[in-house]
Amino acid sequence: MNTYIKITINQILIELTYKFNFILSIISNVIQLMTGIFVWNSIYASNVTIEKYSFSEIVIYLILTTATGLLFSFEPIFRLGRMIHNGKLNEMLVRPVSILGESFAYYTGKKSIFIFIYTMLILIFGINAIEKQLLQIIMLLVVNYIMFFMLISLISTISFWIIEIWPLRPILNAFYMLLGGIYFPLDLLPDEMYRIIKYNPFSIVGHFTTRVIQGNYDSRVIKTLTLVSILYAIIFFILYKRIFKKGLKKYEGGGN
Amino acid sequence: MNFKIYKNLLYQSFSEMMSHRFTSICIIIFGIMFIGIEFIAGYVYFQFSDLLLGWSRDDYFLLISSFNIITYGYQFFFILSHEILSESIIEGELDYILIRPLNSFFFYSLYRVDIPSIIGLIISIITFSFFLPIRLGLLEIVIVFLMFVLNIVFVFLINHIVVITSFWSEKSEKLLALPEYIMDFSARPRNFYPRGIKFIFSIIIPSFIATNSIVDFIRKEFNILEYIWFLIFIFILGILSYYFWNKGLEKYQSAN
Repeated sequence: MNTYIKITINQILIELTYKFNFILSIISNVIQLMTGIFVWNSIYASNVTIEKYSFSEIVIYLILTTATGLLFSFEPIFRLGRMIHNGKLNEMLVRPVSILGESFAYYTGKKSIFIFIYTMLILIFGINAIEKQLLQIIMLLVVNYIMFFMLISLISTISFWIIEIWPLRPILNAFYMLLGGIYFPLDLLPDEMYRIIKYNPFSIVGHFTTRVIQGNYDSRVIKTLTLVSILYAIIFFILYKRIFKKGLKKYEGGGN
Repeated sequence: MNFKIYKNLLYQSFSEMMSHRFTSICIIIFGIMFIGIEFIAGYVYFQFSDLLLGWSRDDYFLLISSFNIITYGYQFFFILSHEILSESIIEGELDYILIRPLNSFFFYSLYRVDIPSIIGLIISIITFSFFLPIRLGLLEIVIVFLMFVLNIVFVFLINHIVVITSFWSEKSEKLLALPEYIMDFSARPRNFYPRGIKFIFSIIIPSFIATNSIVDFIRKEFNILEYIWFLIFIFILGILSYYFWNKGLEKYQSAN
């Protein structure tokens, strides 16, 4: 356990040293957020009434979903790919650490600053919901974090079969932006479309969690979301283990 | 730099595309997804009102389509060259070209084309034609075509200026995404933004003119003085780009 904590702390220190990358990530997301806010401002300025959302609710929604975009990203997918193709995975395989555990510790360290920012935003914008459903919200957030990590770990195993997986990044980002409700709340889509995409992993992490923090769902819904997230995490974990094992058989250990 | 050399570069681009088929397929899929997401978002924005600050849904989709044409036009002709150039400058690998009797500025600007982006370009041209509210006469078609070319040149130049900073700073690689953020931010009707932001991105960095001018022309809201300023800006940026490229070459250090 100490090993994984050290890996996390190490990564936190690296992130704090290379602040430029972190600042650029914030800037890019703030630009995206401002674009969304101005578009929605123009909608409300056109004397439009949207039943489900006031303008301030939409703004808070966009702020929180933008923050989830910082927290839930796809870097680990490309990290495993790099290790496989430059042979550095060999070093990891001979070490007395779990590759999944090391990856989780690394990811947590890398995201630590954004975890802090996200927590602050939740405390600012979700204080009402937190007061009523604190433990349930914490449980949902922790399960979501683990579920999303398992999803991206599962996707990363594709690196054993495909040489260049960086082209997947924009596709995954596009999926996340649409299915996660980053551009707009998903319940503003036509009902049929919303019903189909409602419980996808990105939606649970983005749209639904944001609406929970805004205090729009009761305990029953939060429990359902938590159970769905746990189910996804288990499925992704089982698939990851099987595919990783198959991938290791294919792995040749060569590299630069 | 002449047509024969450019033809060879095109052939090399095609060969590279065929070697990296997975990458090419991902780029095509992403292009189609991204266009789809923008239209879905537009559908959601306009479900509450036929007009948003004077813009109809078709006007909005026309703007998105014209922005996509500019973006995919830039990507097709220049994006790979910029990605390779930035890395080559930082790694000190420009020698191969610098020792040849070629104008390095133009050679490196046109070094590679991104063939998969042509699919996104074609789709965007089709959607642009579909959402045109009026039939354009021959002269108008020529003017619109020239405006597209100039707007693509604008995007090329602002990216090129950022790439050139690689001669002076290693961190500039991270800045490469900044022009993309600016253009994405500007890919909405200018009216949606407050006055201060309109001023900054119409006069100081005229990205709004690049993205909105074609639709303004079609909607008969074209501001000729503003576009003249845009042309002057492109001219100045082109001169600065060439000047700093040569200054950068003086500073350049080979890795060989």
